[in-house]
Amino acid sequence: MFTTEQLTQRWEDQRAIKNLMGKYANCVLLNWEGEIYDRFWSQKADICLGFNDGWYQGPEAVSSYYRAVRDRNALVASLLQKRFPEVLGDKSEEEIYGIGPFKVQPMACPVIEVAADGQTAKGLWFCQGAYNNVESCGPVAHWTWGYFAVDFVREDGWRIWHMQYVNDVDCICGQSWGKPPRPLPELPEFAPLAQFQLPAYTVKAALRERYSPSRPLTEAPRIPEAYDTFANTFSYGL
Amino acid sequence: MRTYTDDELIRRVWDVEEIKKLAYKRVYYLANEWRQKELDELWVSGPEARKTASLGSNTGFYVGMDSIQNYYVAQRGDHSVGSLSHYPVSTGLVELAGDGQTAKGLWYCIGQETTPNGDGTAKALWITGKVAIDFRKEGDSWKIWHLVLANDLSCEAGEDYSQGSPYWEPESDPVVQEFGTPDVAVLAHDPNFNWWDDYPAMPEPYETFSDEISYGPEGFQLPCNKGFSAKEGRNYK
Repeated sequence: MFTTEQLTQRWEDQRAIKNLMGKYANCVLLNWEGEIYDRFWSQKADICLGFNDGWYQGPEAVSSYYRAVRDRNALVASLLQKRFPEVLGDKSEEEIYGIGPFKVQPMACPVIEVAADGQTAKGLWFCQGAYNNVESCGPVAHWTWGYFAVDFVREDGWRIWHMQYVNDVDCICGQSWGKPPRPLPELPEFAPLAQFQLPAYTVKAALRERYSPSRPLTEAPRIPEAYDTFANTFSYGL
Repeated sequence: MRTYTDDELIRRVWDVEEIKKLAYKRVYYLANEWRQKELDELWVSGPEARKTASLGSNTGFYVGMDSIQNYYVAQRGDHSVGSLSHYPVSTGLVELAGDGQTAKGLWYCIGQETTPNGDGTAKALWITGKVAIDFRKEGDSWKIWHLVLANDLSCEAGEDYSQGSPYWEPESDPVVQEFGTPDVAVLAHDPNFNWWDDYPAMPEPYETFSDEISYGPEGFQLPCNKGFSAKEGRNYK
């Protein structure tokens, strides 16, 4: 049983964690991936970031992922500058950074558990998102339906410790995720994007198979449960 | 107007947090096809509350946990391969009773239900609507007591739904067909008129629960605006 003061603090912790993830989603929306690692991630050595097909493990791997997304954003902007010289031609690299990708990761349905000792927390969100990106076929929008499952640790405020962002649906808008995808034809002006690759995963692993009509029922990431200290609960990390 | 101590106020704040968490947990239970587990863990368990529990949709209400279980679980069929259900809720609105024993909540859901066709493809439906819930406190826990899923749209993903019939056709609506024949068969929400019928309505602040404000069948009243003959809407000014 918590005291009034403890309950107030725990409510503040929960609000801070929701705000952290809200800010994370806004940084993604603004293509500020270059700032995400320093702003939100823990200084711990065992941080990890998981996607459907693998993990980035450790500070260097996690930060290199965000740097690569930032570099891709810059490449997209430069290709759009070439495509629209009349509008963008006289702008510097810094000025055009952020033009193009529009990645929406709205966080809904939070189930957050702050440890009784107040040092860690766990959260699960449903994310009915979309990424409106520029690919080798040009601008294209995808629905992305999935989950953020995150362990947090209290340092100078709350920080991301382990995070999974896994999707069930990644489908071009206007198509059905229940039918075979109809890829869009490549456009020569955006061909360099086909060569761009994110860093290889530190650990290649099938965290979550994306939906297909032959996929067995796949449960959401485990729902956080009330816990006293992190050693006595499960981890969303490796 | 009741006044509360600081301790009562923070506990009311936490009650609302726990109520929202319960509604959100249900989202993950649905995605996992944990329907029996949902009824066992998230719904009321007291004998009287079990009798009056209800699950409503556009075309009526199942009443009592046994009847709800029969529709919600026993008739659900096999979803072990090729199924995908997401019913995330947002725009939450929760009113905790002054006496702290019940609460009412309303959310909007942009969901989807995908089922395999058996030929390597699947039928993916957008399913959108309101989720209205009466909650009841049992011991220290909050539980779902009455739940209404009022559907305003179901259309196939990848299709141009503006090309479909402009009128609601219950006989071919997959949500209506799936809901079957409820214990209390009543046209609770008619999507032909969008949300003109205002059902389920937004919860208002209240002191203690009564049948009149219930999201169960006892709280449903035929709207004065039902049908074209009503001439004007409930909210007509």
